[in-house]
Amino acid sequence: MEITRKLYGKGLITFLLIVFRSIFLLASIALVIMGIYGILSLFVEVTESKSIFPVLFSITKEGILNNPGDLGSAEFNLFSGMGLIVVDEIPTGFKLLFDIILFMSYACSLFYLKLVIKILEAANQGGFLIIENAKRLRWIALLGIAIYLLGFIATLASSFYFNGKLELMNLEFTNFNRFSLVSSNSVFNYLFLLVIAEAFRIGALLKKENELTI
Amino acid sequence: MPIIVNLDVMLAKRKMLLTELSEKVGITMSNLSILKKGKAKAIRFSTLQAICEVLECQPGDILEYSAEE
Repeated sequence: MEITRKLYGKGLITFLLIVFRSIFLLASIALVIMGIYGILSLFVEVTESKSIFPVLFSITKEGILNNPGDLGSAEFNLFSGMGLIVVDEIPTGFKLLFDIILFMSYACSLFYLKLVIKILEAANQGGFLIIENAKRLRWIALLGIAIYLLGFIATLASSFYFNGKLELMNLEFTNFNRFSLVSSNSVFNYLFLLVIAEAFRIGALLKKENELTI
Repeated sequence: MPIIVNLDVMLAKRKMLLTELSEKVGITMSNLSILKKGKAKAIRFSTLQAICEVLECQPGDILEYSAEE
C-alpha cells in the first residue's frame, strides 16, 4: 500500500521559497559588488565617493506642541534622535573599519536568509519537524543577535568618531542616546526564538522516537 | 543500546520468513525490519503480544538485556 503524506500549505511554502530565493540572490549580488568596490577603493582613487554614516543627536532648541481644543500649546524638547549623514571625504582607516562591520553584518544576513531557505526546502519535502531545522532555527536566532550587535557597534563607532567634528545649528551630536537602543526589542525576539528552537528540537526528538516505536 | 532484539533467532527457530510474520502480525515489513535490526526506540505491548502469539514464545525469547561495557 502506498502511503501518501498530504502536505498542507504547500502553495504558501513554494511562494515563500521563491521570495526568499530572490532576496538571497539579490543580496548575494549586492554583497559581492560591495566587497569588490571596497577592495578597489583601497587601491584606486574613486571619484565622487560618498559614504553614509549613522549619527546620534539631540536638538537644543525647544519646540512647540499645539494641543487640540482649549488645551493650548506647550513646549517640548527632542533629546534622542538618529539620522544618516552623507560625507564626501572621510579618512580611509575609519571608512575601512565601518565597511568591515557593515560587510560582516550583510554576510550574517545572507547566512540567515540561506538558513530560512533550507528550512523552507525541508518543509517543502514534508520534513519540517526535524532536528536539522531546530539547529537552523537556533543559528537564525544567534545570527539575528549578531546582526543587531554589529548594527549597534556600527552606530556607536560612527557616533563616537563624528562627535565633536560635526557642526549644525541647534543640533547637538552625541555619543550615545536612548535612540541607540531603540531596536533592542529585536534581541528579545531572537532570544525568544532560541527558546522556540529548543522546543522545536525536543519536538523533533519526540517525533523521531514516536516514529521508531513499533 | 543494551536491549538486544533476537527476532531473527526466533524466526530461524520457527522457520518463518519476515514477510510471513509481517502478514500474520499485521505490522509493515519496514517496521519489523527496524525492530529486527535493533533500531527501534520502543515496542508497544500490543506488538510484543502479537509477535509472541505468532511465534509461540515469551517476550524474553525476543528481547534480551546485555550490560554495556
